[in-house]
Amino acid sequence: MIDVGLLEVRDLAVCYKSLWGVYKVLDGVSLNVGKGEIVGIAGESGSGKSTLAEGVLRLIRPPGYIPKGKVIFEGVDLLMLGEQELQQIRWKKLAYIPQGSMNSLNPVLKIGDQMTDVMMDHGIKDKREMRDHIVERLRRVGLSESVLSRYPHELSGGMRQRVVIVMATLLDPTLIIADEPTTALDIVSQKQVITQIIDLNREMGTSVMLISHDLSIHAQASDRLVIMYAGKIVEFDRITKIFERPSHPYTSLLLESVPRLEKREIKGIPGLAPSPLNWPSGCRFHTRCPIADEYCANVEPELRMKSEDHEAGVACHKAG
Amino acid sequence: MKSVELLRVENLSKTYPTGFFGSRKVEALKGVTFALDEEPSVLGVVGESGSGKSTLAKIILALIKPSAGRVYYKGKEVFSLKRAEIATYRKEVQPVFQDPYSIYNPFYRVDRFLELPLKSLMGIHSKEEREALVVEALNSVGLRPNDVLGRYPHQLSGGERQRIMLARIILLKPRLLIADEPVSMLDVSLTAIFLTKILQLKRLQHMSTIFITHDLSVAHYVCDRLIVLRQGLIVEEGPADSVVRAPQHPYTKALVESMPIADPRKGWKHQEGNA
Repeated sequence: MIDVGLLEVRDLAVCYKSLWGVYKVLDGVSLNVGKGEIVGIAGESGSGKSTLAEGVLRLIRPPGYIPKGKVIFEGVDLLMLGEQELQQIRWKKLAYIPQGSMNSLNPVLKIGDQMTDVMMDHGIKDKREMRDHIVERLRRVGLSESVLSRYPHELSGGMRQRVVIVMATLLDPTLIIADEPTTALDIVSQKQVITQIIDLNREMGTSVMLISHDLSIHAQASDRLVIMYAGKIVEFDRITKIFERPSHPYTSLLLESVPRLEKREIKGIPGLAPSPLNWPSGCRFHTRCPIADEYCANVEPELRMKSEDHEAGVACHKAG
Repeated sequence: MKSVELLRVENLSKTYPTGFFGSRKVEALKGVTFALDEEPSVLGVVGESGSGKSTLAKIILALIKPSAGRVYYKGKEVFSLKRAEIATYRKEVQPVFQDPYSIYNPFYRVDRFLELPLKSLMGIHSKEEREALVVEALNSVGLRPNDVLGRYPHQLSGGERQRIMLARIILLKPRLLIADEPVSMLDVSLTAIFLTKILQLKRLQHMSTIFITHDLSVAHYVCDRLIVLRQGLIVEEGPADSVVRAPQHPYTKALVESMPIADPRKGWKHQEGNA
């Protein structure tokens, strides 16, 4: 394919050392995010979604470490950069909206001051220009200029989250990594936040890596979806294909767990997600899989391409 | 003769003092009235944060007193029950909260959390019998007893803790369950198990539920009737299906419009000029 992509993650692994051994929280993950694309990452808690984001941004702190992998962003391997060079890329080109970030605003500084700080740190000095830019960005998401003179506690959770996203994208990054940006928000704010992300993508061409356990959110926002299970990718495909013709049994079961308006019966997935301390042998899903056999329990399936254009892949022995 | 209603909430109001020495007041509930029939059912209470949902739950559980209004359980006023009646009420009306962590005693093992109420509330004195019941309940929520028994709450994952809450409900067989955002921290697969169990308990054990949530698709799935709460007032109520499919009040319409639909071909991305 001609599109080299904006972000290319190759065989990335993240481990944590503990008294009980080494936790392979992320175990060899490869994916691409193209220019102007929203790539969704879905999976249950503990599947490694957030660790993937932290690995890409190189935010893994001891006792965690990255034993292998490449994170190529705009042609540069982020894992090879020095801390200072990385600092230049974060915010300016690569924005990160961590889980619960709406609670990470400084409580004693007005919103306006926090926003100007971000811009000053990255070399923009003209006050007038700065303010115009900030006000324009706020307007675009339907927030009035008056939030600039407010303190974080004076805003609702939904408004704070929108402010955080505006702040993260002031410097026009090419990629935003948003980790569960709507968890803990009510549905009205949730829609506003997701719409804000979709608009950024549509109007500015910003690429997005959207992490959410909520498949309905992905149905609304993501172009492609990556399904993770037990530290690995089990399937990825265009969002419509995932919903219409899932290949992996885990994906099918996840989709059957989502309540829909047609009120057909929903099913859970039996059993518990495995622990990173000792992932099951063979296919990691075999302990909960309705169609697994002995081969699945012993031989680990490769993530193989479903089509020639490398747009879709699945890791299952049984998938046709 | 008309049978006695299971629960009646009449003109319930709650005002919290706030500001400097309580100089201002916040009205969390402003005269809420509804009833649950004897027939087992699931009543959904939906609304945004700040709509008064949790205050309502706490009053029904008799954890806080209302500023005005009354709660009747099987025809009797809850806040003037006699001591023995209170014990029955506590047994028959059980809560599930969003994060079960807060209600576990961190110093007691999970075993005690499950077994103690069997002894004190259900009066089962044989230890073998209690243990057998606990094992059966854990199995029915997909937990291996060996994995969780003997462990402390902090050693369990959030999903395990919520499953143990569910096991506790199965053991205690409440007549009325007050579930305040029980699934908002759970993964989809676990949510599905939780909702399925609630429907099963309704069918098999005549358990009614007041299901408080901000998630309309979950409410639509599990509830028979819905109440839409906004700023302490009921703005709409009716059968769950008609409230979600044909909302009447502008606020309910806004909520329904904000529901993410699990279908990539329908929805926000394909709308033009959405705010």
